[in-house]
Amino acid sequence: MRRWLYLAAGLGVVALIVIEIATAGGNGGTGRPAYPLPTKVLQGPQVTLADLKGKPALINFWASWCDPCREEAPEVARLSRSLHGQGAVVGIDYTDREDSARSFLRQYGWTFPVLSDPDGVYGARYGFSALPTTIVLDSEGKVAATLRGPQSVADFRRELRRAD
Amino acid sequence: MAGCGGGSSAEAQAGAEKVHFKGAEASPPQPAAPLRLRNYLGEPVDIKQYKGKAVLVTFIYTHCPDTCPLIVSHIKTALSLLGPQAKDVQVIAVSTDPRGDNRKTVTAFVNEHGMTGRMKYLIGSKAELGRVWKDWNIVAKPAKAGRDLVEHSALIYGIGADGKVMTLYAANFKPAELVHDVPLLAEA
Repeated sequence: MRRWLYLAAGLGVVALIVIEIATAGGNGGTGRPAYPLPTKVLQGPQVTLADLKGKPALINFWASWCDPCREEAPEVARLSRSLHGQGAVVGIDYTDREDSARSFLRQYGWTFPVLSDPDGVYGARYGFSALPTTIVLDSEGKVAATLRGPQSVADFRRELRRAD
Repeated sequence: MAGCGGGSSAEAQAGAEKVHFKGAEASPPQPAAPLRLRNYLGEPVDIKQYKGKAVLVTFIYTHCPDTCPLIVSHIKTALSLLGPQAKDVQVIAVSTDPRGDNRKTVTAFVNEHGMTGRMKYLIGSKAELGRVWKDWNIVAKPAKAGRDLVEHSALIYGIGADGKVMTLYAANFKPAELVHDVPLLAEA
């Protein structure tokens, strides 16, 4: 486990912590097969890892209560509309209320498949520490990169090219 | 001087047995500081009433844009993964925003995050909360960026069943760390 910087005082508590929230980029856990996707569908069609093989794909973890996810959402929408079969995007809604999540989809015009992880058990396997987090899969379904924090269309396209 | 540090490879002395935690470990464990406030429903809460259980204490505010909701969501995930063992832990959140956190905003927050009835969210006046922040070495102050944001220490304390602070988790903790550590805290 990563070590953290602490200034200890009194009870031995932290005065300074390095926070990794919304830090862009990263390649932790690359080369391993992706973990299974949730079976609960928020917006169809249902998608499995097997469906994603043959082309690079992005698995985007998000939540409606996450402000950085709202910052990224228009970029994800633009990307999904411009892929034309050159890759796939799947959203996974993390520990969210379904009504809030559906409102989010409408607001940002997301039309690609979105799965639901209401208890966070699927997301926990990926072990991400920031939202949004996007897992980039290569055409064999292996993790090619992990992108933490909001990304742009250019960022997504670059990672898809690398994974192809 | 007492201090915190280490990680998964660190060892803590708990009774006669070495216990391996995933969180950073207090060495040596120290009694938890006083924590007596009212929750958002007006009910008195004293951390002492949870002696015999593991307790997770965090410091958050309801309109926090990123860190706090992810902390709460990861705690929710950990409780789900713990299954029946979740009954062995009490989650306590202490407000870092006496101005913005009230019955209405906290009710909405815990409902949105599926934590109604699963987390004691404590609120109070600036003086009441300030005493707790000081006792727990928490910094909380209005952010320079404005927009009613609050700069605050974002962490989670793990309290053992014996009432001692045993572990500490940074804001970017993973739910699996709590899933691993809660049963150990509950046995401390």
